[in-house]
Amino acid sequence: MDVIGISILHYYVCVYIAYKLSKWEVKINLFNFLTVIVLSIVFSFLIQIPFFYKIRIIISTVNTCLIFKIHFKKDIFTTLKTTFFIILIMLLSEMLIIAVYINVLHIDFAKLYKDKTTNIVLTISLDVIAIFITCLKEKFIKFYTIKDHNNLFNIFFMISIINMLILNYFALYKNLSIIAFCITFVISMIYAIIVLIFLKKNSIINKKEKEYAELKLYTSIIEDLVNDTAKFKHDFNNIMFMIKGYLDNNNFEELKEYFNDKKLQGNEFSDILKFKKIKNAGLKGLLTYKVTTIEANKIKVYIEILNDIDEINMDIMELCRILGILIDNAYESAKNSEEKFIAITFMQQKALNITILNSCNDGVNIPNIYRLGYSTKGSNRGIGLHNVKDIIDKYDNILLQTNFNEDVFIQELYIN
Amino acid sequence: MINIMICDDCLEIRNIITNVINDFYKEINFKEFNIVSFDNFHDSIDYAARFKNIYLLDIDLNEEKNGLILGQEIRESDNYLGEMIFITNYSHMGFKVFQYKLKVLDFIDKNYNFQKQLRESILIATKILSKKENGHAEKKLQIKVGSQIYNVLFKDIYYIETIKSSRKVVLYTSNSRLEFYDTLKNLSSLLDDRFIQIHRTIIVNKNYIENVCKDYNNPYVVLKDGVKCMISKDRLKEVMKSWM
Repeated sequence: MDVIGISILHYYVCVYIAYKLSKWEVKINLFNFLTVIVLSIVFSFLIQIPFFYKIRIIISTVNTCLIFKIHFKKDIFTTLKTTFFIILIMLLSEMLIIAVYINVLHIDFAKLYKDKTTNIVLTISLDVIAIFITCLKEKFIKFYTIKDHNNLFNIFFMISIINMLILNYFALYKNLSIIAFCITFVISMIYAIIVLIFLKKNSIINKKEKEYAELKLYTSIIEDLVNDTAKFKHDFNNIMFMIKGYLDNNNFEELKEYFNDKKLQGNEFSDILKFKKIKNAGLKGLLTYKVTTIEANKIKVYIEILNDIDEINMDIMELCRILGILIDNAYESAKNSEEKFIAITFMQQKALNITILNSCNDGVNIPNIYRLGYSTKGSNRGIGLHNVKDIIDKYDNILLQTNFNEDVFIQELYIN
Repeated sequence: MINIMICDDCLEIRNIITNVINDFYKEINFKEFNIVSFDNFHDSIDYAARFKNIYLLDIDLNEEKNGLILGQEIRESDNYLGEMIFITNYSHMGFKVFQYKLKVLDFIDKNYNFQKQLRESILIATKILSKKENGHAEKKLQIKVGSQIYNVLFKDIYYIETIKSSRKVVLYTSNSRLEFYDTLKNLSSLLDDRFIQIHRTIIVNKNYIENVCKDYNNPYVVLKDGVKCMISKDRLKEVMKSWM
């Protein structure tokens, strides 16, 4: 009975691992469940016959194959490959577990498989370790953000497991001869080199992708700007045409009025071109984007960048997140104020200093605004500032000053 | 003695400003002053580093760097002791940042009531500077962040706390939150007896304590505006004594 239970558990662990490794869809229904039970019962009966007990690993493999075929409905080759893979993982974890049992817990090897309880404990811990190994692989993929890992990475994974098995085989059954050591050592070295090359390529791809995304954003903003310029040119032509009308009639009085009305002044242009002093495309893109959207909502944005900004001692993505939140807040608060303006300044002194100032008529309770969930109005504002604080607390070289005086709200960021 | 420094690349404007100031000081019968004028960057910075001044700077200097950068560089060397006034062709709200950061007294528009504005600003600057020389000010904490200096009056400080796993501390007042590098140990030696350390990581201004929650497992103080700060258990008695 216990053998049947253990086998059912074991088979489902195998299915789970296969699902984790290959990301295939799996359907568990009554039919599947019944097959697993039947196979487990067959297995438990067969291993009582001495001949079959000797080749139990083959029976188990065939069973696993059948179960995979039923559960995932893939072709025979893929099923075999996955089965082989999982058997390898199982062998590795079995070896680890047995090593622990014998060396650390001092349990007799002969007793391990004979005794009922130790056998159950052994199988369960084996399954746990196998799942753990699979999860480890997934963590690894996430950590290095490896793209297209299904084939290549599984092969690496398999090679490393086989290599470990070979090494252990020699260590357990033969004396660890120099030849054995050399073989595994060479395999490991080749393997390590391949992995390194692979990871390097992978990181280059990731970097390129990031740059590409930044470039795309920036290009779209430039397109908007070109559109704006075209619009401006159109307006300008209209104005010229009207002036020509007044001049043709020698109607100077009305022309004067028209001029005063229109206030054709230089500072009606947007300050956006001043961002050219910022060398990082991503940051420039974000700022340009934010400022254009804010100016579209009739809030004046003044920009002053005193020096070229090329070196920034923090992760640009995180800086963009912080500035995005701060500018959004400035917009929200300026929108409801009387004077409706925002001023953004970059200065490179000893430290890079970024200042965002906005007009603000409501009182702000500064000790409280950085708490989670605090907000003067609307839903997301408090959470935004809390996130800013979390990011900044991570960096020892960044300081944030918040100030409210005389109807302006000021956020200053110092990056050392 | 008040030193007045003018930096403008246009000789005419330099002369106009000099005349206005001379006339003005004659009117109010003030004699201890000295005017120098420059047309470039370097001489101005050299001079500013040596004397306590009123600076009158043109924003649109005809050089690579503009007047704001000049102001910034002067502030890096003069410890914010001088009074800075900018002269511009058009004044706009965007200058508010610099008014705050460079402690600029005023931005004067060349095209609009120039003389009147200039006189007013000079009067204010003179008053401030002579006050600085005579009276002793209220106790304050000077905080340096980069080349920026913030002066915070003791009476305005709510509380100061450290930020976990960093060298940073945060100071709160009713209208500002300042981060800088320091230790509470050093700060408590600078502060006076109206402050009390209620936790390993927090110093509080006693005057702002509104309530103390004495729950032994989780004691905290409530400051003005409903800010809560935790008290460490072994300091609870001390806090109660000073609050009563």
